[in-house]
Amino acid sequence: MSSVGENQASPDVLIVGAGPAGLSAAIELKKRGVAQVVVIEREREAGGVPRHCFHPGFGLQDLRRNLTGPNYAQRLVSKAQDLGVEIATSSTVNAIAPDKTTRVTSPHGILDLHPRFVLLTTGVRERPRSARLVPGTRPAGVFTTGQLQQWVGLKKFPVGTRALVVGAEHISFSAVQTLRHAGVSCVAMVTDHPRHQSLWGASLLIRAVYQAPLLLGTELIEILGTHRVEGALLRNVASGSVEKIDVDTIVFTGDWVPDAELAYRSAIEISPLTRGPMVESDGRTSVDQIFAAGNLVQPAETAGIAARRGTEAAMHIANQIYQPIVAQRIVIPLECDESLLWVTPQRLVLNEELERLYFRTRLFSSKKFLAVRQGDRVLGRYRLRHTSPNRGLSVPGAWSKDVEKESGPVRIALCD
Amino acid sequence: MNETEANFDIAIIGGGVVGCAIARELSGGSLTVALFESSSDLGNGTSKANTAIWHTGFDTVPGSLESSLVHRGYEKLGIFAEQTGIALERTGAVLVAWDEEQAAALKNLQEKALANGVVDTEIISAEEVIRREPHLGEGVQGGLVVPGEGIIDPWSVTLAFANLAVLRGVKLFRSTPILGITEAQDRHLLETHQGSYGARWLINVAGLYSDVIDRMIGHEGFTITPRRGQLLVFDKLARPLLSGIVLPVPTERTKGVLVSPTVWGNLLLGPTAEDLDDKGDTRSTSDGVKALLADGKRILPRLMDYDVTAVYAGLRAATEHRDYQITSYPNERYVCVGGIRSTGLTGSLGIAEYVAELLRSAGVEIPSGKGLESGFTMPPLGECQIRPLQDPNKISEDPAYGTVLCHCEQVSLGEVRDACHAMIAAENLEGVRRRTRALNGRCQGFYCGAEVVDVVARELGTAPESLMGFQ
Repeated sequence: MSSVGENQASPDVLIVGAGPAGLSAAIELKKRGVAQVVVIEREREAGGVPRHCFHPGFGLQDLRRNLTGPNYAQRLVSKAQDLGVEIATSSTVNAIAPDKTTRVTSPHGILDLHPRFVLLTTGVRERPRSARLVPGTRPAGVFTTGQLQQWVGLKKFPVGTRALVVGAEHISFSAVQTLRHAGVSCVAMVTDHPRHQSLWGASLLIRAVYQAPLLLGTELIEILGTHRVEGALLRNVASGSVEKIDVDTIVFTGDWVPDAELAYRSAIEISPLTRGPMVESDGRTSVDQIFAAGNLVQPAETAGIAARRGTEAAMHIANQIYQPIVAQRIVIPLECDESLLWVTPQRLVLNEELERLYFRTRLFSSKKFLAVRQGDRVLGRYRLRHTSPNRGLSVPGAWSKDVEKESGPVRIALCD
Repeated sequence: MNETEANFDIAIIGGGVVGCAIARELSGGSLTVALFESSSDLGNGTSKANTAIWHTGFDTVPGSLESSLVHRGYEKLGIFAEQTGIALERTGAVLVAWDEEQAAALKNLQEKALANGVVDTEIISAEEVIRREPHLGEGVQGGLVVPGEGIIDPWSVTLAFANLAVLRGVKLFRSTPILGITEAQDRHLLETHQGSYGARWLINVAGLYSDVIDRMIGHEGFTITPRRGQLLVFDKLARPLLSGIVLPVPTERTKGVLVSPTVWGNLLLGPTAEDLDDKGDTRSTSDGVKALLADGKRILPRLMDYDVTAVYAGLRAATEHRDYQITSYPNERYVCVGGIRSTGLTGSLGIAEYVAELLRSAGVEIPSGKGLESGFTMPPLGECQIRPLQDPNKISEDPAYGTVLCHCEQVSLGEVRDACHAMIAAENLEGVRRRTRALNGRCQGFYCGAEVVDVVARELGTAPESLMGFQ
């Protein structure tokens, strides 16, 4: 890996972010014969979030292997480099001008690139304590999972002794494992939802293996301590009763938000629901020749799905490079009702088949089906595997061929 | 009694913005000056958690000492910030009236401003308010424009004063609380954990604890009742929602909250005003945050579309008196500078000058105030400035200025390194945050937390866990 240089001044495709989506897109573009593909990564190492996920389960979907996060990241990087992808690390894209002039800052200086196409794959982060408006003092010892994983996995820093994990999504259980690995006892997991949002049996496993009780319907209402966390106040949502828990570490998990500042600053239209770029079915954003994919668009999926979405966006970019579409594209908005947190893509293109539709529920629901409607017509109805809030859901997009030009937006909603 | 470690002509107790301004003002002459700060860093009390507004003083009580010193300090601080490279933006402010009562109060406020020497205010119509600030909520009745109001980096101001003071010979003692004061024949003896220090003159600028120090000398001029102000800092993405500061119109019932840009490119909402007993209670509360959000939604509805980057609370050193409590006791060689509630940042240079005058009139030989700047500059931290990562010359000079450490706030490795080795260096993460902005952004360490701690621990030669609040 190297820094960005003058010989990369006009790449065919510039990809911002070398995580699973960005690297998979770069691989696909090279496979399709695109001449110059440059990936810009702001961290010192390429690979994205998997670099600090020291547990297996990566690569199952896209590499057909069960790898740890760092191994998975390394494989993607090697594969990309073998195919001739140019990866520049420690390099930050500051802004993309309307003419695609892209300003990059690195230890070597400030350079303007002029790519033909740009793909944004800048990923997600977890909402920290401040954005969740948790009151109290501001002591040290408050983490997000991402920070904790780097702390433990990359730096091997001591964490604390007794931790509270806030959230009960997949990632929350992973945080418990990381704490355990660091020798920290997890005193409790709390969620204000009535059930956890991970796989069946996860809470039993956590209770049996890690002796960490999962407190449902419970919220963290205050953080205590002057220099270091000295405890937390928990409130039972139903009864209103408050108890103090004795911990020196608090980990906020999940509650994903795209890291979309570059998209905002490049005047790309942002979805108020995902807080990432609005995209059409092929991944293009509201700005010509800028595409977006991965967890920036759908916060957040597994690395495998992010990688797949990157690959799909790359296919569409390659098509555009080889066969620029001149015909006018007719775009139909895709909307969701209150029962859903978000849906993507946010726009369908008439006569272009959508591969899959990705969405999230807001709350646990007794409604087990998803209905796709345009006007009075039901275009599709799918049984859902679960309705866990903020956990990955998708349905096939075969119905998209039945979308009509004059019938208004396509709407999706949970139904009985 | 312990043996005296050292003797000074003047000891200043309290390294907040006012204490540091006084230290700078009194430095550079033939007198020996010491500055005692109880915590590990300067500006660590009231001076660190405020609204960061460069204030004309238009709404102070006409004829008061506060009015006169804020007026004096205002211009001086503007010039000082420019000379020392501290971020300051002359945004202007508009006081927005949301009902008939508030609209009717604008005329009086304008007269008050005039009495305070602020001559360029203007009452404008609701339409004009909305033209200036198109994202304001429904119900604007009119406004009063105060063009001179602005925003400033308050942390750098305090540090710049302290740096200049130290450069001009002031001896700085950090982490040195004053445990007691006794009187010897011609000097005060200050008891500290490190021993006792003698001082002919004593200047009490201890902020929230200025009443405690005052009592140690044997006075009971006032009592500090900390008034807590909770504030919400919104994501930088919200910055385009405002062009300048939006101030409330104070009425009999409520003082109201403001929404203001910050020099770091965020929007600030607050403060609350809660009288407390505990001088250490800088907690944010659920009620406080809820109240602020309700106000924010009313004033600037679209603000609610953005995440909060930081929640913090500061304590103002309020007393039972309305004015500053600055008193000179020449016979006791003691000056008390208390009750500097919320205008201390803007007033600091005016207050410092006034204290120098009080000392001069008591026969103390204070230098003239010439050459106070001496070409010293602070690192550029504001969005209106060119930061190292935007400066090709700086990067080619040292690639560490082109290595991003904190992505959200665009802080380079070079800046964090410098903060750890500066003349008045950071001693912990808080100190690094205030000197560089690192870790102050929207991710709150998701991306860079471990890396920043690694770098800071290495640069300070300390263990990472010692930066994480374990005593």
